Order: sequence, then C-alpha cells, then structure tokens
Amino acid sequence: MIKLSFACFFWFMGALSTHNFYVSTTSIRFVSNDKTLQITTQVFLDDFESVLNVYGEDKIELKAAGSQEEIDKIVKDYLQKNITFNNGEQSFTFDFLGKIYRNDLMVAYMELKLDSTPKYFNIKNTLFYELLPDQKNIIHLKAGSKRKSFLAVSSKSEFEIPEDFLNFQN
Amino acid sequence: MYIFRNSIFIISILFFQVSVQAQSGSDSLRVSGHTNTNKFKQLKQELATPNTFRTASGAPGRDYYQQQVDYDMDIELDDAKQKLYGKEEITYTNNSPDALRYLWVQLDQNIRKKDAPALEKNGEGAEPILRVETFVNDYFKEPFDGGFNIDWVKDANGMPMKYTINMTMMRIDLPQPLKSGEQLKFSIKWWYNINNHVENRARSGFEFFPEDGNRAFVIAQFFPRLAVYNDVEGWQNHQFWGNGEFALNFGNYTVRLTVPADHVVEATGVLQNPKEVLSRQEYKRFREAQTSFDKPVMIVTQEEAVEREKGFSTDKKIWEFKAERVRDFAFASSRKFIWEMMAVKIGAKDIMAVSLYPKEGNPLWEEYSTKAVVQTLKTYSHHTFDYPYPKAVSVHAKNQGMEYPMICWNYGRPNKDGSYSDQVKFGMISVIIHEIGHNFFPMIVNSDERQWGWMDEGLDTFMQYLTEQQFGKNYPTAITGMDKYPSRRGEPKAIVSYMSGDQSFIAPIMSNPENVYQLGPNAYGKPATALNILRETVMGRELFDHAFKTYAQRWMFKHPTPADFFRTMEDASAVDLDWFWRGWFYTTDFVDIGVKGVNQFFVSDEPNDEVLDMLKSYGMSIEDLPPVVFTMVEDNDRFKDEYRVGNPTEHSQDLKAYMDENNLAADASIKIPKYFYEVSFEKLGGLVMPLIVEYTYGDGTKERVEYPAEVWRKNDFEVKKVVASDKEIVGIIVDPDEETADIDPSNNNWPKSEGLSEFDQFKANMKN
Repeated sequence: MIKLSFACFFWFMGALSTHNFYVSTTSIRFVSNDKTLQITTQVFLDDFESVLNVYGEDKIELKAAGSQEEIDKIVKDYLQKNITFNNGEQSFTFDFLGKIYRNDLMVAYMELKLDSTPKYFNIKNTLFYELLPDQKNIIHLKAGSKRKSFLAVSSKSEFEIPEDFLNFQN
Repeated sequence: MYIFRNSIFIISILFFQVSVQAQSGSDSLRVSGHTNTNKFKQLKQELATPNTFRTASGAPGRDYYQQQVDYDMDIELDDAKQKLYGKEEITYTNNSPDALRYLWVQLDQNIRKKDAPALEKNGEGAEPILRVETFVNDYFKEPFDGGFNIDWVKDANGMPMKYTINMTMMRIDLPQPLKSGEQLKFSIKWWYNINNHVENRARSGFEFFPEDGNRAFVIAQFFPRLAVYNDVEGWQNHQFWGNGEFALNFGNYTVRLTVPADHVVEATGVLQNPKEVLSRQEYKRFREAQTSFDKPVMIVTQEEAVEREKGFSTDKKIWEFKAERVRDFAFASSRKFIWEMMAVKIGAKDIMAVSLYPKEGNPLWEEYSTKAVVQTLKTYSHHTFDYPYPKAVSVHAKNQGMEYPMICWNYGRPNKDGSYSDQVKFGMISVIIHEIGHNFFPMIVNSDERQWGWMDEGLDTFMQYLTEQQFGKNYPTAITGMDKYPSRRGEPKAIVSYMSGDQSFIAPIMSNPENVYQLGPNAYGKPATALNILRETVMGRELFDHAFKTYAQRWMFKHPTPADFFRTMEDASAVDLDWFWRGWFYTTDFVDIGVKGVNQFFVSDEPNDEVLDMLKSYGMSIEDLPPVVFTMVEDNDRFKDEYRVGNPTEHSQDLKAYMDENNLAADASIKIPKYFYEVSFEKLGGLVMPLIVEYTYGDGTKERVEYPAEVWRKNDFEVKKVVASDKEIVGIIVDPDEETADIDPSNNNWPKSEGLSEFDQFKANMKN
C-alpha cells in the first residue's frame, strides 16, 4: 500500500501554503486555589471554517457572520466534542466563556471547575483530525511553576496527567 | 607603600571570592574540568575553515568559481492528453579547477514515479481517522504514473551517452574527463505525464475546471536540470525527497514552447516573438504596457478570456522565450488566463510587473496582484540590489505558493459569488510578496535549498515582513480598520508559541529541511524573527541594513553558504554575532529573562561582617585599608536607620574627606545620588539577549537602559547591576516592548505583579 497523500502533501509543503502547517495550540493552566483549569485554545480561522463547512449545509464565514451568538454555540459544541477531559471513570465538561479573533486566528477561552484536585486525569485533543490527517495539536500545561507539553497527532491524541503534576505549593 | 597596600587589598578580595567558590565544592569529589562551553565562544569549530574560494570576511575568495549551464529547449504541451515532451541541448562549462568524469542531472519528476522511495519516507503508521478522498487515494487507487521517461541522451555528434538513474538523480558518464575550462554539449529527449496539482498537491501540474472543461497549467521542475558542482559539496546530488528544494546553476536559456494555438503563456525570460503569438490588438496593448507606469494594461481582458475558454483549438503556436543568468525556467499556459502588466522603475531600469489569472481569481486578483508585485520589487530592491531581471510574473494557481525565476504560482481564490474574507485577501497578498520576493533569495542570491532551507525561506520571510508593513502604509484602504498590515510572521511575539513548545518536536534552524518537524516555523518563521530581532534590537537598523545589503550584493548571482552569511553580517558591521548565530541557529534554546530581586543599599560608616571576616582572615584591620567607602543593605545586622537619612557623604568619613580635599561639593558636574540599588536579573532560557530594562522612578518618570548581550558572558544565569539614582525606583520591567521573543513574561516585572493573564483579562472583560 502506498501512502500517496502523505508524500504529496509534503511535496507541497516545501513551498508555502495558506499556513504551512496545520497546528493548533491549547494552553491549560491549573489554578489550585479554585481547582480550576483555565483553557485557551488557538486555531487558524480557515481550518475551523473548513471543518464547520463539512457539518453545516451553509458555508460559514466566522468573522463575517452576523450573529456571533450562533457562532459561539457552534464553536462551543465543536470544542467540547474535541477537547475532552476524563479520569477514567467520569468525563468533565468545561464551560465555554467566549472567543475572540486575532488576525487569522480564533482564540477561545474555556474554564473547567473541578470539585477536588483529581488524582489524575486524561486530556484528549482531536481538533480537525476528521478533515486534516496531518493536523498537529500542541497542548501546554502549567501548574504552579511546573510545565508540560504534548504534541497530539491523530494516531496519539490522549495523554495522562499524573497526580503529582497538579499537587504543588502555591 | 600606598600602592603596595592597595594591591594587596585587591588581590585579597579576588582571592577571597575564589576561595569561597572552591570551598562550596570541597565536600564532595573534585569537580572535573570542562571544555569551552561559553555562549560567546567563537564559531571556529562550526564554520568551515576560510580558504581561497570563500574568505574569512564572508566574501567570495579569489579562486571562487561556479559552473555555467546553458539550455536550448523545444518543449511541447499536450493539453488534451496532459503530457509534456521535451528535447534539450545543454552546454556545460566546467569553470572548476577539477576534471569531471561524470555529470549529475536532477530528475525531480521522478519523485512521482509509482515506486518512488519518497512516497514511503514517512513512518507515522495508520491513522485512526482519514478524509474520505485521502482514504480512497491511499488504498483504492493506483498511484499516479508520473516521472521522466528518458528517450535518449546524446553527445554533440549524436552518439548515445551512457547514463545511470538513481531515484531523482541521473549520472551521465563522460568518455573522457571534462577538464577545467572545457565545455561540453549534449542533448536529452524526454516526456512525462502531467499530474493534477490540486488533487495531489504538487508544486507543478494542472488544475482542471469542470465547468468549462479547461485546464490551467503551471509547469516547473519539468526538464532534466544539471546538479551543482562546487567547492562545498562537490556534486550536490542529495536526492529530492520533497522538502529540500533546489540547488541550481546559473545559465542562459532559449526555450520554444509549443502549446495549443488559443493558449496564453507566461514564462521565465523575455518573449521573443510577441508579434507572431499575439493578436494585433493584444500586441498593441503589450507595447502600451511597457510604458504604463501608473496602472496595469490588460493584454487579455476577462471578457476575452471567457470567450477563449469556449474554443478548443487543435492548432499549435510556438512561444519563444530567452532568459539570461537564471537558475531555472518555468511556464504557465492556459486558455483561461486574464493577462495584465505595467512598468515599474527600479534604479535605471523599467521592469514589467505582470499578473496572470483565471476569472476564478477575480475580483481579488485584478485588485491586488500587480500592486503586490510592484511593492515587492521596490522594497526588496531597496534592501538588497536593483532587481536585475526584465520582469516579474504572479500567476494564480489554486493552493499553490511556489517560486521560479521571474515567475511564481500563488493562491488566494474568492468564493464563487466573488466575495472573499480578510484571510483570503491577506493570504494572497502575503504569498505574492513571498514568492515574488524569492527572486532575490534564492533565484539571484543562489543558496543551496536542498541543504539549507532557511537560507532562502528565512531571509525571504524576513523581507516579506518588511514589504507587508510597507504595503500596509502605501495602500491604507487594503487594511481598513487595522493599524498595520497583519503579518503572520516576523514579530517577536509571533514565534513564542513555537520556541516554547515541546523540545522533542523542535530542531535547530541549522538542519536539513527533510529532518525537521515543523518546517514552517523552523525554516521560515524563526530565522525571519531572528533577523528582525537582529535589526531592531541587537544591531540597529543602520548597521543591520548595511550588512544585509553587503551580503546580498556580494553573493548576487553566486552560491553562498550559511558561513558566508554569518561572516558577512559581522564583517560589514563590526558586531560580533557568533553568540547570536550559535544560540538562534545552532540550538533550540529560547529566551526567558526576568528580574529576580532588588536590594537597596546604603553608605555606612562601618564595614559589614563580610568585610570584617575577610580582613581578619588576612590579619588586617580597618586601619590597614586605603580610604574606602563601605556599603550595607537594610537587612544586615549592623544596619543603622540613620543611614537612610541625608546625603551619603554624611555617613562616610573617607568619602567626605575626599570630597573636601578635591573641592567636589562646589563642582556643579558632581551629582550625589540618594538611592543605591543592586538589581538581580535571571536568565532561565538558554538564549543570550541584550538585557532591556525600563526603570520607573517615584516621580513617575521612566528610564530605558539596554545592557549589552555581553553582560551574560561570565554568568549565564544571573547578573547584578547597580543603579545609583537621585530618585527612588518603584518599578522595573524587563523587555517592556516585547521585542526579544521572551517566552515567559511572568517574571519580567518588579515588584512582582502577576498582572492579569490573557485568560483573566478575557474573563474580566466578559463581566463588564
């Protein structure tokens, strides 16, 4: 079996595409006092538009759309479906606070309130894999002065955050 | 005696410091020695030893040479069958001092052979989720039957020559060695199937338009091209795997393109027979355009192009192009093309700025393409050399951004109803600037892309940033509602997320393009940002611009290496930048500099314990000292509150005596500061940077101090600076304008103000 698409994709990439690589960045900060995860996700607008256009009948242009409330709902649903947290037994759903546009980027803000500091949890990021097999999703975690980064790709999109990472002295 | 005493004192202080350091390690085993790991160590081991080909100054040496390769080609495009046929006569001039037993020829199209190893170069395994068309392409379809079919290789007498093909490289064996200074003529005949570049995303091929049944061809890397032989690589015959672009020779080209009679063609070089291939009206407009400096002249209008789409001529026409001193040749051909051009004055020359696009590109392309070409020629010429070629053509090809001499393919397509978003618009303007800009790097400053992707992509992306900003100033209506052009790359802040990323997926800039994880930030964004920081923060615009121009002019129409660039930037500016290249280009280190703490200290009338202990250890007393000033921090046990009061001269008899003896109190140029601070700065990141600090004083005034990068040369982790001032310091900010790509600004303030994070700020705004 020859993986034609892969090779040709890279052939093209040497030049310059709209953005050369498909990358999103999700930064998560654990605030221990509030037992809250502050989640900021940054995606390319055109990636997001293409993925939404697959689901919806109408072509969506996020920035130009009249009602941002409606857009917020779509963005929220998509993010909640594709950035997920669980501890093996139960999954946690974050609140979607809102989003802003910055040039060709969309930055979304989410907040996940936990009842207690979890023993451990898993984070899974599947943004855009249904459209872009080469999508890379970077996850930065910060808890106190501790930092951890993951690179999620379609073949490995879930990561475990160990307990000792979240337990720290402020 | 006085001098003697003084020197003992100094020696003892030095000795004291050394012995403290030695003691701290004395509990365990002796610390072993080490090599020179100083961040300011010169790059002698990394850079090639200078020689007579390439000098230590970064300029070409007295024995510098490069091969000359001239091509005379007859090419035929079969639109209906999507095949390309070619016969090329090559004249190879061996300017090297060496005799050559064989020549290497690049067969880039062979990357599309069914069995090309490049198709199997990745090893990520199975994907749990795939786009349907990808799945079908990968597992259901036969791979595309591409690659060169070589009919023959013949010498000047028409006798066959022996050749061997290894993937994308063909070795032609010579019956006898080609000696230094000799010339060899030979010919190659070939053909290949042209791929659809939209379906399998290639740099060359065609786009099919089902509505009208036409194709738009953008054809490049389409003929066997001589590999480079030089003093650095010998034969540069590293295989073409897809990412590392090209290493090519300069030469002169005469190319006759046979295409369907109703096609419109643009190509590298000057059209030799416009009267034959253009209609009377088109020819008249073509002449008019040569002196139209204010706006483009339409050679083929949209209405005319739409009319052409309908006929499918079986007749043929031959378009002849000649190009001098180019490294490659490419062309675009279709019935669908709208064609416009205008003249732009660069130095003493009139250059043609040209756009070629199907109606699907409008209304965007008629509005911005030629404007972007003109701006690029002007800004790049200003920073390098006057654009030496007669024209620059921007061709619209879907999803494509790729450069060739005088011609390039660019994306940016509006929706079917003609509407387009800002992203599409700015994406299009930016890609045109980028690809037209590639004429300078690497088409003219001809670096080896196969080995060093950043040398053209990084320099070009840096120049792209300057050009975009200029474009925004010159065409304010294009950026309505924004304070400047929204450049994706170039601003220091924009590279932070890459440089602070997972180290296992970052490679140094000095890596082969095939072996990096994220080519975009690696070869484009990071070097472009590094150069922008050099220009704005490290060197200053005047020194940088002169050095950058010197590099471009030294290596114009030549083949530079990274060392030639690094050396020239220093040679032309007298700024030692080895530390900068070492950090930014040879490592994946990042910038993180912060303010660690502030100690106020005071002049005191007696020494602190540290000084007393030191004196005691050498059997000295205070009386043995020359006149000295003692200082003390607040939390010292011997600190007295009275030190805070009044003038420092009141707390030191030696100081007062000195002032009196020299009558300094009456000297107007003497200013006695009231406040003394020791400020500690920490460097958590591996990269060295100038330390840019803004001090805020009690009266609200601010002072900007830039400590040179060299401040870090003896301690890579922490430095302490003394500030003596008449005013109290109430705030300190490191890198206040965010110009160093500092990845963590949370330690950049004193007093430590957490400040509102971006997240908290967003939340706070929500509540309002």
